[in-house]
Amino acid sequence: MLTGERISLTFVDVAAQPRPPDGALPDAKVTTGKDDIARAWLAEPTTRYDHGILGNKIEAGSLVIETRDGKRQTVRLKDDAVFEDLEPRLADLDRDGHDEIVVVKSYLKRGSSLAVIAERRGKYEIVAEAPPLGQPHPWLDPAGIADFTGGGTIGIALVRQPHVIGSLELWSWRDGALGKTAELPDIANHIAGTRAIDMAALADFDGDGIADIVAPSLDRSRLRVVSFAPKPREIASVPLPAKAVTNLGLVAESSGPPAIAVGLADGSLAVIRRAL
Amino acid sequence: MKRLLLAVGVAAWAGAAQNAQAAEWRVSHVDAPARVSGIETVAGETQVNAGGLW
Repeated sequence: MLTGERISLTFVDVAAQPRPPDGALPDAKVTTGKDDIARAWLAEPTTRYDHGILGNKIEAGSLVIETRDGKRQTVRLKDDAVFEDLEPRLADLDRDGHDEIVVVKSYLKRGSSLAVIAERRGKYEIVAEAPPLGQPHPWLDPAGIADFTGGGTIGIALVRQPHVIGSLELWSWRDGALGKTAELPDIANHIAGTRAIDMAALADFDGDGIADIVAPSLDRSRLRVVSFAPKPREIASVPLPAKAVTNLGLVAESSGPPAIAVGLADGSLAVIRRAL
Repeated sequence: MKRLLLAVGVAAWAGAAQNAQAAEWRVSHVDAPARVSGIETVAGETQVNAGGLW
């Protein structure tokens, strides 16, 4: 937590993260859930997709889901696609009390799409996909999942082609299908060839009780704070001393919205705070 | 590579803030003791990865 005008940091050596499960994608993040899904991770490394946007050309051929009772299920893709992602995201998209899983699925010949995985008759399977981007290599990066409009619908925010287009899109899963409901230009949440896929963060920055999104501009020279409520809009655009190059981190303030920490191209750390 | 926890403390300092967006948002350019190579959020805590400290 940050307090007062003066920012200070404590540097603490933290224990290494646990070893990923056998068969997991290298550098995969194991996502832990609070409801019926205990853990989930990407697995079955494959080199069948010649892209390497996440730092190597090793992608996942399957997703492993470990339910609360300890049983495991595998959602395995056909040879025409991979999971081009590092972590599955758990969220109760339809508010039925059961988590769905959101992950990036990339077709070898048609590029990336957003996929929703849910349990159907006791078996997890892909239940919805956004249309793929149309050709090999165009990729998308999820930016966050929340009720971004305040209307009760859980939305999935993603950045389409964060290296060349940078369109922040809001998607929702309704009546079994994914649909795009809004978009904003000039956002980047990833640098090509890196594993930092979390260059966006969610918090209520303007105090309206609705989740907002902070992420770099497409050229990464600014941090943009944007909202989809009541319509797509920019809350702030904050110039940075150097380009953003890391994931964003949120640091609680004693009051008001959290501060935003980001590593810069000059090797320093910037902390961005809203003055109250 | 070491992982560092960003929290309240007295070990480092923040440089002068610069105004941004009509003085509503302030950017503090922090001189970390080593080059910052990454930020991760682990169990809700922001961790700053900086190399060469030890």
